[in-house]
Amino acid sequence: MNSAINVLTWVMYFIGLYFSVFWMYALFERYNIFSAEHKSSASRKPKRFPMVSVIIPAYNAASTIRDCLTSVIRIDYPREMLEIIVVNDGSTDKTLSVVSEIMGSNSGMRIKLMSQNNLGKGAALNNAIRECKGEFFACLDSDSFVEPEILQRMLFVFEEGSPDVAIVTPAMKVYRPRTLIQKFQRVEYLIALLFNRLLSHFDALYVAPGPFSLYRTDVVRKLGGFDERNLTEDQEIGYRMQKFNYRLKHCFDGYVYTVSPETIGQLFRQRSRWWTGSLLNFLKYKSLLLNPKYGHFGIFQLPFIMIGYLTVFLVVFFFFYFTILPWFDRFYEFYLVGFDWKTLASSFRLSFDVLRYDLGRMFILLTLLGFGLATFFLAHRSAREGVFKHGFLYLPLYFLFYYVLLAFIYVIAAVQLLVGRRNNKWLGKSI
Amino acid sequence: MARQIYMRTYLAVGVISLLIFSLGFLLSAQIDNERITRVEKATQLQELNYKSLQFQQLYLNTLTNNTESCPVFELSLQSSINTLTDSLERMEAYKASANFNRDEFGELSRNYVLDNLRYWLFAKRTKELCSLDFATVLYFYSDSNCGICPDQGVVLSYYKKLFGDRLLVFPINSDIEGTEASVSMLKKRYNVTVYPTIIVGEARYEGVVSRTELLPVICGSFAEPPNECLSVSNDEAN
Repeated sequence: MNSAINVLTWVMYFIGLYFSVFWMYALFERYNIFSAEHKSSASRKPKRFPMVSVIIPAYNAASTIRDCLTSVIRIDYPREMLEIIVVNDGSTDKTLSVVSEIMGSNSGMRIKLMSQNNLGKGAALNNAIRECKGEFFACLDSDSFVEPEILQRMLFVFEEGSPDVAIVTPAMKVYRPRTLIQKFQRVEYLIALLFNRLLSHFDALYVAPGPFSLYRTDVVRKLGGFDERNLTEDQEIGYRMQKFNYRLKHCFDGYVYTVSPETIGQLFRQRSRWWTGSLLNFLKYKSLLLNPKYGHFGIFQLPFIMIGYLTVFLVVFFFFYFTILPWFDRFYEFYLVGFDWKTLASSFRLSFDVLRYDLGRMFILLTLLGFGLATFFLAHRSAREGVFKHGFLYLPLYFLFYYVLLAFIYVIAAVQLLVGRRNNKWLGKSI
Repeated sequence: MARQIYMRTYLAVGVISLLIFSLGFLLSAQIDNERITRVEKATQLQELNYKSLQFQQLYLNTLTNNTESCPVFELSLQSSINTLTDSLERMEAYKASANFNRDEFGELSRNYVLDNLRYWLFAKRTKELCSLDFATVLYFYSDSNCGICPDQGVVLSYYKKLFGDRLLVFPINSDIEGTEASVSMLKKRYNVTVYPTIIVGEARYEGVVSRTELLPVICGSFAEPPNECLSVSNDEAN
């Protein structure tokens, strides 16, 4: 092995170990708190019922808006205190007629329909925030569906927290995973839920997911609303809240289900936007990095995010170096000997020499794998999901393949960003 | 809000991580040391084998005036060369995945070059003395200055597998030329200026000699070409 790569791998092992140990340490330190929270889940209800607006930006969402809107209508909350605003973001399909039909058949609900040219999600949210009457507002992507108890559980988090809690994020799960890619994302989302729970304890959350994050309206208005030119406006608002010392909290039992990408192509489009947006937001708020004024978020979380950006390049490099290259070499050697497999097979001897394996590296990698598996099981437990609910054959592929696939997507997104081929579709056609 | 920094946690985590890392690191270092020890032991065994062969040759030269002991001697020679080849292959694998003490592997490489040269001379002498029918290939390569050398190594390994004990390959890592005069002497004798260069019998071939080009060269150096020469030729024709 090349000396530079040798050193690089050892450095990566240490960094990987440090962050993995941190998360495991934090998890076990809070294990009792999490268990107590689970036990008291049924009694986690707010004492008062403030006015809440649910804003649903919709762009060509005819296939999902009915179920989305219906799930909001079924939310367990006093009807007079719930306002629903659908913002039609210049849809060219039947979104408008589907929404009108639901409005007609639910005249008892306070549902408002707004229309705008296709300006993007950020602009749609800002238009609705200007009009909404809620003390709190929830943003809900039109391809997501909520559980009836979600609002009360999230309001409870506002109540139990301090007044500087400005955003409560939901527990987001993948809606009816069918394809392999969706099953991968299901596990990924469950692990993210566990991490969000921890980040919430460290006041280091920095993303308010599109599906049903709940905001304190006056704070968002005071900070100028959403950044309409941002690829990941739900993350940008999170960073801004951190910058202005507001808290983001996570509601572990407020479940929302979102339709996730079904194919690699769809996943690529979604994740390249997320990664590019995330990187741009990181750069926008780089002044927070290692800044003790921002506590754990500045000192630990932002460096962790930064290392994550660098790691994707290393993952792709290591994948080629340690996996693809040896296979290529074997194939080339096979070519050099005229693909004479008979001679090679006849001289093949099965032998085992333990010293050919670097047991030190294996020890570290197995430790990391152990942490990964512990996280995997605890994430399912925390989200009250069965480990093998959707089979188990996809799980080895998830551990071996999924994160490499994501790393490839991120590297391509980085290249596209560098050559100026960024996908701005998210921002709307009118921008 | 008052922002918290969890310094004690960061430090505790740092200590735990360092412990796990150190365990892995030390284990790796220990494995490297074990590898060196194993290669050194193999070198001692080779030294013993060599002494035994020296004695056998002396016996052959001194106490017998015919070739009655040649089969035994040939067997010992083949066995010693096979042990050397296996051991060299193992050492190269260890060297490739070595984390720390690469310099020590460099010294061991020198030892292997010397062993190969000794056995090559022995094989040449034995071939004459006992009229044995095997082909010898002296293979000059460089780890540091020759990106294509591994290609030649693959082709030679293939033929070694094909012909078994009828083909003796002696790889010479020319990187040690600066510290080992015998390599310089041999390079001068065969006028080796580029890598890879192979010497089959007394003929020199520069650059990578492909599988198809090498077959007639090797087969031509046998007094009675083995069946493999014919079968591979037929495969090529097909």
